[in-house]
Amino acid sequence: MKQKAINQKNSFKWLQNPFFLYILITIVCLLLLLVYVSQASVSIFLEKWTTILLNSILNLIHIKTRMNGNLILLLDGSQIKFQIIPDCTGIYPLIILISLMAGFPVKFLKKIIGLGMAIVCTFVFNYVRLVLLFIIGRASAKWFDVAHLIIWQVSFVVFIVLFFFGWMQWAKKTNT
Amino acid sequence: MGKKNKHIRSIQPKSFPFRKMTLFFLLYFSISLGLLMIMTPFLSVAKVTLVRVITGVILGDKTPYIHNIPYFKSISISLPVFTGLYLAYRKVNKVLPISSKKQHLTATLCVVFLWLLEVGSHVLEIIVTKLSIGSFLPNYSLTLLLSVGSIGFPILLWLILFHPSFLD
Repeated sequence: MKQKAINQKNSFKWLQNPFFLYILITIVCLLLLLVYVSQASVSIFLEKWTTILLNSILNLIHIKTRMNGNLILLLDGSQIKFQIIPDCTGIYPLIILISLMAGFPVKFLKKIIGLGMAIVCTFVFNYVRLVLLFIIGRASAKWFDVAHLIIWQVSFVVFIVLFFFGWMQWAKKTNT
Repeated sequence: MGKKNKHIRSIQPKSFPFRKMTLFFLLYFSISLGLLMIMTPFLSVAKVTLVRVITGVILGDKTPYIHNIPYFKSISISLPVFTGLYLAYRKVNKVLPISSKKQHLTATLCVVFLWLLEVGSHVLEIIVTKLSIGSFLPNYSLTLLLSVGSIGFPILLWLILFHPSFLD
C-alpha cells in the first residue's frame, strides 16, 4: 500500500519540473487565448476598432481616408482600398508574447508589468506598421506587397524576440 | 543527490547573457533569411508541387487549379526564426547537454518539420476553402497554423528541444 502511494507520488514528479510546467503553461495559454480571439464577436470588435483608430490616425497626419465597414478607402482619387483583417490587428504577436511570459518563473507582478508593456508596445508597433504600409501602398502597389509580406513579418518576429529577451533579462535581474 | 544538485546550481552562471543572445539572434536570423531568399525560387516550386500532389490525392476530381505564386509570397519565416535561435543559443551557451552532431541533426529535422508543417497548413487551407467548411475547428486550426504558428512554433520548438538554461 505504502509502495503504491510512493509510486503514485513519483509518477507525478514530472509535474514539479519547472521547465515542463513552463512549456505546458505556454501551450495551454496560447491555445486558450486563440480560442478566445477566434470567436466572431472578438474578431469583429478588434477589426472594427483597428479600422476606426487607423482611419483617425491617417486623417490626423493628413492622409485623407474614409471608412466603410472594415475597409479603408483612400480619398486621393486612386481608388485604393485596404481591408482590415484579424491579422492586421496585431493580436497574434500579442498572444505569443503573453503565452511566453505567462509561465516564466518570475514574480507575478513582473508578469503583469510585462503584459502591460507587451500590450502597449504591440499596439504602438502595429499602428506604426499599418500607417507605413498605407504610405508605401499609396506610392507603389508592388512595394506594398513586398513590405506587407516580408518586411513587416520579419519585423514582427524581431519585435517578439527582442521584447521577450528584454523582458526576461529585466525580470531575472530584478527577481533576486 | 539534493546536495549535488545544489552544488551544480551554484557553479552555473547566475545570469544568462540575453543581450549577447539577442545580438547573435539578429545576426544569424539575417543570414538565414538571406540564404532562404536565395533558395526561395527552388523552395517555392517544391512547395507548390507538394501542395498540388497532396491536395490531388485528398480531393481527387474536386482539386482546384493551384497556380504558381510569386517567390516572395512563399517565404517560410518560421525557418530563419528557428535557425537564428538555435545558432545564437549554441554560440552563447557553449556547454550543451547533447553532442554537436546530434544537435545539428535535430535542428535540421526541425527545419524540415517546420517547412512540411507549412505545406500541410496550405493543404488544409485549400481543403477548407474548397469544401466550404465554415465551422470553428478548421478556422481555428488554420489561424493557429498560419498566423500564430509561423512565429510561435519555431520559438516553442526551440524551447522544447534545446531546453535553454535561463528557464531553470
